[in-house]
Amino acid sequence: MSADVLSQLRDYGSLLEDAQDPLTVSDAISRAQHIQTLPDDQPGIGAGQTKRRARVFVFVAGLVVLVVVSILLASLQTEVPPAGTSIPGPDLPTTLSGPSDPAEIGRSYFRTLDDADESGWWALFADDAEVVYLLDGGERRGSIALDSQDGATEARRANQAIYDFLTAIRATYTDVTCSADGSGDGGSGRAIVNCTYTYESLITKVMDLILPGRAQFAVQDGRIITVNYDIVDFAPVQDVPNSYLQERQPDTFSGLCEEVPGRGAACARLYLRNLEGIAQAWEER
Amino acid sequence: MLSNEPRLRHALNSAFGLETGREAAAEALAYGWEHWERIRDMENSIGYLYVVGRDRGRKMNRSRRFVFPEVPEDRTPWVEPGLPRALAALPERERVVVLLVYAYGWAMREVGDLLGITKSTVQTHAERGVKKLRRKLGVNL
Repeated sequence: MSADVLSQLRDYGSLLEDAQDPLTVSDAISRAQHIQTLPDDQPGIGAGQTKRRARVFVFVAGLVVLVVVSILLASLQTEVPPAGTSIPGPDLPTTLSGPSDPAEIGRSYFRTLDDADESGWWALFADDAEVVYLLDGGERRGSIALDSQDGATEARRANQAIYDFLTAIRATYTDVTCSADGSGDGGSGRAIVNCTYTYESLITKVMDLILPGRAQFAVQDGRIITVNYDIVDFAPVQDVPNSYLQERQPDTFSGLCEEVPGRGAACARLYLRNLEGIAQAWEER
Repeated sequence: MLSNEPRLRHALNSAFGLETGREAAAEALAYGWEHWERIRDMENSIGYLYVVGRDRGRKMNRSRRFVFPEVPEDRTPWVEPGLPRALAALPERERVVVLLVYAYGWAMREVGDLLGITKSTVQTHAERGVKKLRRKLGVNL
């Protein structure tokens, strides 16, 4: 033994550094894809709570459930509705206000931006009947230009479905601009909504990338039936000209999701696989 | 964030060894990916992600052996072969502080920011940890 612990630690540190390659973006993305399949309430901070605490919580929760069930059973025994009585369901929250009958949609439906809902969900509002804004928590994120009232109706119905798709990918989208082509005629209940956006996530931040993309949503009766998307090339932030979206590069990553179920998770996974391709291509450059 | 990836990995390596540390860092980055909207505005996002990775690493280490690489016999400069085992025997907090400060060369303030403790507490952990290592390895310097 000839060297002090401190200098040995310094030498051991370089040994540790040599023994391990840096994490790649693909590593993190593959983990993220794994997480996509997990339920939303996966623990993060606090995941290290002891089993004992969890058992106590389960025990207490079980007691509470027992008491509540007992009370409910007791009340049901005293108030049994007559046969044939319809029992009303719970009040489901609505994310959009205004008339639901397309015939009633008109200028009066749209409100000004000042009236924007602060609920955190996207909503459509307009200061006139031709431009509809996409809002998130009251913050303006984009707009849909409309050329007919029927288009407006369909765009309004598409709003939640598109939001769900973007949410399922679990990233932030900025500069979202959508346009409905006005083909929704109220009768067919179908609309085509074209969107461009900039994709932003931890991974893109790590790699200092900007990922402009565009997607075309075919929407019927308020439900996305197909998503056709391109992730339009990629480049370091500093090299991206303002007109980048117009100067589409040859190496794009495209995908088509049909019949997007539920919250668009299946389509989101396809999208993520493409993103992984981008990350790998980026690392090879 | 580009500069934060190695920092997160170094910190989790120090806590759990190379194998678990790397996996915990990847899990933490993936968690950040999933919750980016919430994390991006945090003042100490690296500290937050460290806690996420630490929780994951503790779970992983329940079922696997704690691994720090052995020192090759012919390594120059010479490093005491018992050092990896002595490090593994330290309490987690002391090991993290000792490795980050002396092996990875972090400033004590940076370690304090990561762990959410003061610089003087970092110093205390570092002194205790080094003292234990010296005792274990039989070094008087």
